[in-house]
Amino acid sequence: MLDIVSGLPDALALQSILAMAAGTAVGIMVGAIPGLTATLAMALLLPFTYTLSPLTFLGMMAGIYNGSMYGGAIPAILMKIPGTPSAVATTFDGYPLARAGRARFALHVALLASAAGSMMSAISLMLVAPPLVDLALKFGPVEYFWIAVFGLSAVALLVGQSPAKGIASALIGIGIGIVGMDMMTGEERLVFGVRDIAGGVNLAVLLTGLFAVPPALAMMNDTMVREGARLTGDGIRLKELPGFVKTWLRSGAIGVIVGVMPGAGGNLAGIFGYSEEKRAAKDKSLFGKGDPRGIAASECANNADNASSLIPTLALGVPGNSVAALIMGAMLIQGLTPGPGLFSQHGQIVHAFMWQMLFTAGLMLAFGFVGASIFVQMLRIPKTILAPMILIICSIGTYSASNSMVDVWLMLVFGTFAWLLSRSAYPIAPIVLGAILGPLAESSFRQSMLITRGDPSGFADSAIAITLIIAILAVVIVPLIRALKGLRGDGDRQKERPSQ
Amino acid sequence: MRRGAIEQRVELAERLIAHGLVIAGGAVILWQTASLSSQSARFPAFIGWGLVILSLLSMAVTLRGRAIRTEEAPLTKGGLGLGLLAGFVFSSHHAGFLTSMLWFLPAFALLAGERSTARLAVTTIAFVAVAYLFFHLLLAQSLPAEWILGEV
Repeated sequence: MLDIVSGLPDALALQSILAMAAGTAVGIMVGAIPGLTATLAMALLLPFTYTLSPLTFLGMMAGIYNGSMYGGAIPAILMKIPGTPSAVATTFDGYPLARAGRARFALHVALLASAAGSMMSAISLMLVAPPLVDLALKFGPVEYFWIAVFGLSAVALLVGQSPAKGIASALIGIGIGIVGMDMMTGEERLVFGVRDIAGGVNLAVLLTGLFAVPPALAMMNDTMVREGARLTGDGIRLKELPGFVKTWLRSGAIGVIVGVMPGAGGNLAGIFGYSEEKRAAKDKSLFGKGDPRGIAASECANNADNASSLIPTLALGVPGNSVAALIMGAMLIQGLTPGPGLFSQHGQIVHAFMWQMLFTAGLMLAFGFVGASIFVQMLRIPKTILAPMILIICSIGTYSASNSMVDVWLMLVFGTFAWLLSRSAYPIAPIVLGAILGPLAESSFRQSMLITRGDPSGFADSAIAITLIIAILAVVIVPLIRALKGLRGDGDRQKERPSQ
Repeated sequence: MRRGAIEQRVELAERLIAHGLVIAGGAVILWQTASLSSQSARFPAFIGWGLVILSLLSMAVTLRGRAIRTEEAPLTKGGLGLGLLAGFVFSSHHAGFLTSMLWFLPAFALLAGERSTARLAVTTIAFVAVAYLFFHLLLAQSLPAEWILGEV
């Protein structure tokens, strides 16, 4: 407990507060623009992390993560267009309430629920991550190998609709991750004579290409003309708040649990939270027609997914979704390797980051109440102009990460492949996971082979390893059944978005 | 008027090409592993075979499945957009980022469907100015030499 308190002064430093405030404001603005997600904003920020201190960029990332989740509710409520995929369930009751002239009330319900969810999630992170680190200290190479396989298979199989494409994406990522020199034999692998990648592919370049280029291109497909969205009616009153507490607790718990599961994500949390709220309600007649509990459930659950998704990332070094992978990528750039070592070597920073996740929930609340009318104006920004701006920032950011034009070309190559693959419904998140976890899986596997002298039974000689193998089997079986059903049914009719 | 991003159909040929690209990637990895020692080649070989087998499987499913729809940029427009981006990267290398923004931002916006020339002109100039202030003065980034602004 004392360890957590040690991060408090750093989190409350002026630089950290400014970073959190900027990140939260940017996050809400980004979330309020349909098509822009937390992953895009973080991908744009990523190359600049080289010039920022760890607490500054982590504060910005925390703000963007929490802020964008709430921001997604603004167009969901005012225009029935989810700003982020996680806000889909918010449209069910948010839009009818706005149409009934209570847009301001609906936004306040969403804001309070988002803040409650984010706070619950941050507290869960503070409480669960440290004990998980204690457990992780007992892990050897065998356990790390299975952890990496579990993270990869969960995301590869659960994120997309087609298991084959999910696994192929993860393999592509592993391929990118092992580019460069083999640390055990000194041989160069998959370099193809390009000297600039002999030391490996720069993670910032990969992430920017994958998560910023396709969404910017997709904006050319969204030539939406938006009429002025207006904040109608009165806001929420203090005496109405107690009526939402049960909803917050229920949906918050759902969001936290979903967040810890690799491959699940905020979209699932929002839908689960909404469904559970509807199931538990005595009077279901208003759901879908403007019941504020529906908004509160969806928003609380999708925000509660945020910090909790960082539990396996920080404690084990296994990111469960693309945002967590981006945060992990940013930490790696700064020399902060997530996992048990992070807590012992950079405990103050990681604990400060946990506080930042909590404080940004409060900042989101303040900005949401004060700046609602400004954030609504974000809906008017023409994407025709926003798209080239994003691509320019990507290019300059990638260049400035290493002062190399080769990296900018690489970013373009990754962006092009991500766009082509996602058009054919290959999920993008497993590529990132593969690039991060692939090298971990390989090195752990090779170390394990040395330790066990090549005996395969050595890979299942501890309770943790057996538990992980069972978890992997469970993750594999569910999509396999789904795929078999799909083969009998609709074939590969599916839609896929690259982000989230 | 209010409508969401337009979904378009992804043709069978394009999906087959995408799978083909993944297979080709796998094949290239397998070819590269031939020159590696067995220890270094084990993981890349696994990746290569995995990509080939899984994409063949996806290809078979695609051939018997129905059409898919996507909200990604249309093939022609997206391809042209990427072409412009490639031009921007090339131009930035030789003429600098700020100078290249002057043609890239309006060209891309026009391709995306922007029709207000006044808005384009004002936004472009304002964005270049903000980029100069932010990247050069605030972040002190060293960028390639500019045609117009010289060394920044």
